[in-house]
Amino acid sequence: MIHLIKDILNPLSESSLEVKREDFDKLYMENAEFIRTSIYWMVRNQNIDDIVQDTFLKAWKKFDSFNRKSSFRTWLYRIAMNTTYDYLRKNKNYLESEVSSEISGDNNELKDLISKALHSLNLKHREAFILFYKFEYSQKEVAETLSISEGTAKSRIHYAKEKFTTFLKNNGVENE
Amino acid sequence: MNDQKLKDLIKNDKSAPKTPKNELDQIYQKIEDDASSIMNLLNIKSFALSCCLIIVVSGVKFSITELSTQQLTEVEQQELIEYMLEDQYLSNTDSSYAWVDESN
Repeated sequence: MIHLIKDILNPLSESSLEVKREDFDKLYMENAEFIRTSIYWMVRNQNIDDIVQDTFLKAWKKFDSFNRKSSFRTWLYRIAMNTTYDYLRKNKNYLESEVSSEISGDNNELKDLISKALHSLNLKHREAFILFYKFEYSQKEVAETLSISEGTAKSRIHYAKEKFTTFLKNNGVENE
Repeated sequence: MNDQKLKDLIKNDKSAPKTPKNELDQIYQKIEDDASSIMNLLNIKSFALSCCLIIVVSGVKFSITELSTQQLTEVEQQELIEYMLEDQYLSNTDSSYAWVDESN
């Protein structure tokens, strides 16, 4: 609300709006794929355009308050995950039915299995698991991104892995 | 299953949807729509606030005008004039204090 009032009282001039837009374009180009992939792996649904667009809409609104000393990717990732959590809360039943009704073809079999395994994890564990195994972040990076201690990150990754591999094992995937 | 095997397995899943080519344009469109809806909302709020202010100011002005133009009876006017002309501060009506010896 305060930002809104500020915006109304001090609307951006054409030139500063242009600068903001240039910065935003650049940051979008650098991070769009990472954000889209992060959201997709959390949701495991092809229709994620709205979540991605809402993420960047929120980022645009809060862009002026972004502290440039911290990583833009981490900041944007947090916005994306908050938006995803909201979306998952509102559309829980729809997403669960979407995953379970996926057609299992040759290519889709692995996707379907991973989707179901991921949905067996709670959201916090799923997030840590994706950062560590999909994006190959270190435990320290996972901790920094999620604003948790390294011990907590390690624990979440461990439990998520246990549950994920148990699910795969129960569904006939070799466990070497 | 060790960590590397799990990472390899996950790498094989390439099902993430590709970014639409015009996504940035869609985002800017959404930003514009959002801004205009906020402005519309603000306009409605401003209009409602203005109406309220006009009603309040009119009410206050009406009541003041009504009071100031109130017709007084002759007796009331006389009492009012007397009250205005009477200077009570100049008339010393205080009685002497009991402990002050006036004979000195």
